[in-house]
Amino acid sequence: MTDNLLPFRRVSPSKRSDALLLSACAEGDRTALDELFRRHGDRVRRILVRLRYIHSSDLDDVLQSTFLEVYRSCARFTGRAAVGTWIIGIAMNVVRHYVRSETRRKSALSVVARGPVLRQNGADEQISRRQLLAKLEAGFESLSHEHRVVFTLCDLEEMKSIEVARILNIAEGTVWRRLHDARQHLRRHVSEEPGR
Amino acid sequence: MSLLAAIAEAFGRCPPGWKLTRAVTEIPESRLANHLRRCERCAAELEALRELLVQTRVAFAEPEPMSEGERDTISLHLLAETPRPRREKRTLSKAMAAVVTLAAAGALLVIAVHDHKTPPRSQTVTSHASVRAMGQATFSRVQAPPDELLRVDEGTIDLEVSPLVGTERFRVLTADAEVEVRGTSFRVVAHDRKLMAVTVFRGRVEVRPFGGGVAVLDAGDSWARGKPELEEGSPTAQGSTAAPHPLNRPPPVGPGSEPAPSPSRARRSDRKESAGQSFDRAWALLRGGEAKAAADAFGEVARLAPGSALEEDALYWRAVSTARAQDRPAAARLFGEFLDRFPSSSRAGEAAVALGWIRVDEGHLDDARALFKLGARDPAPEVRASAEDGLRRTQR
Repeated sequence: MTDNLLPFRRVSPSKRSDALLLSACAEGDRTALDELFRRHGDRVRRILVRLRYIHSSDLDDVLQSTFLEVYRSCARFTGRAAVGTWIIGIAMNVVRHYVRSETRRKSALSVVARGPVLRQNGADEQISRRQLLAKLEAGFESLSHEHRVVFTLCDLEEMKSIEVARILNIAEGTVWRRLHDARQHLRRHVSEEPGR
Repeated sequence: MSLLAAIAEAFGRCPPGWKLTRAVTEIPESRLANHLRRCERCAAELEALRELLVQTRVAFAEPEPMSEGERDTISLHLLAETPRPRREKRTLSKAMAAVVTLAAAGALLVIAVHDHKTPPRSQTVTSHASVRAMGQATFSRVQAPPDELLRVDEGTIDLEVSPLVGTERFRVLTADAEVEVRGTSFRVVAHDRKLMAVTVFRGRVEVRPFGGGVAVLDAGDSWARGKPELEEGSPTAQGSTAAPHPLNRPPPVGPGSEPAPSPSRARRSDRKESAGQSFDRAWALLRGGEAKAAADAFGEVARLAPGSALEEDALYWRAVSTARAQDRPAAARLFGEFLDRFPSSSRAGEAAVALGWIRVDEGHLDDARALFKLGARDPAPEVRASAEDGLRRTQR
């Protein structure tokens, strides 16, 4: 009887697999959640930034909300996809809710107005690059949510179509069709004459 | 692909656009590859799509990575399970954190310039704590009152926390632990964002490593990373090395932790200050090995604070103290009374498991099983594990 409460062997979170960390989260282990954040937070954040929906001042909130949602939903993880893929799926749901919010959508407009910083190249090259960038940005901003997400995950994050299909819970063929539509949409924007 | 489509494609009909899209990033299937060799239009289309991909990857370059500060702040909020405050509050919090950091930097500068023997200056911020950095300490406030959070990354800081009221909290966080107080004076030492040591000068401090367990320190006590040390000889300190018995070491404990009453459960108001003082005295007796006197003292606390959270806590610890005094029949009665009176207490699972093991000793296995089943529903994994062990051992 005396050995029934011997100290429990604990494995350092950093040595546990993602799946074990999720199990630990389901048991209420907050360090496991922290470790998942440290492993996957950068990638999730990068995708959030690239989607260009989220105002920079909201970015940390959305990122934190994503991982709190991971904590709340960890018991529902079925293992059909990799944990990282599953977390990105949760992030996409959080983003969808964010986009639906009218007030947040207003704040997102300021993101559209802000362009990325260009490298210092020659003047002509810089103007040309800026024009191309403006067209691509305009094209990207006018993509529907579904197309924007697929384009970001496939072309910018270079994820495999099967992985994106799992994240978005859609067929792989649908991923390719959406990506095709998104690319054609961007091509039209890029080939448009200025001022049209 | 249908047979007709395959035949059409084989005889020169162009494939659907999404197939070309797919060929941009994946090796095209042989039929498509053959078609691309023959069809200039599709080859040009594929080339244009490839060019677009290059352009977009250049245009939408990889964003700046998360800074260490951002990472740590989110990490601490996740660890603390504290929802981030709204933006307005966060801005305020950030501003205050910046003030604290700047003040700390200023203090460090003063310390560096002055002779080493010059005592460090005390700096008071708009918070419940007066923080004194010793040497090159790195710390910042991540959240303002009422749920105040102070992050310590490196070095030693002394804190003087004024008494908190109501739902106010004050916590010091590192990457691997949190230290919570209700009004006290103590020292925190961190290294590489990990909690290394805590020393209490006055009042009571609760140390909670995130890996599990809790250590409650009173004035004069200290906690050190890896091996908890209590300067006074106490049953809790011995418990970390001796083979624990359920009653000497209640269930929800892990390695490097001490069974202790939780200050958050033992909320004290000014009105019940005397009860709070009695609780402290009772706890000191228990830690001093005077289990019988502690049980009496906890009983006194319960009489002084009827209907309060302190009473619930005191009655639980009276039962534990009684068990440690080896008065098992009385302990069984007290645990039973506690369960009858507080069936939804957060301690109910622990009490049920402790009582379950007494019943095992007494040979009442059916009673024990019923109690272990109760403990098996406890949210704490350690309690559940003990309960499940009890269920296995009492299996017929």
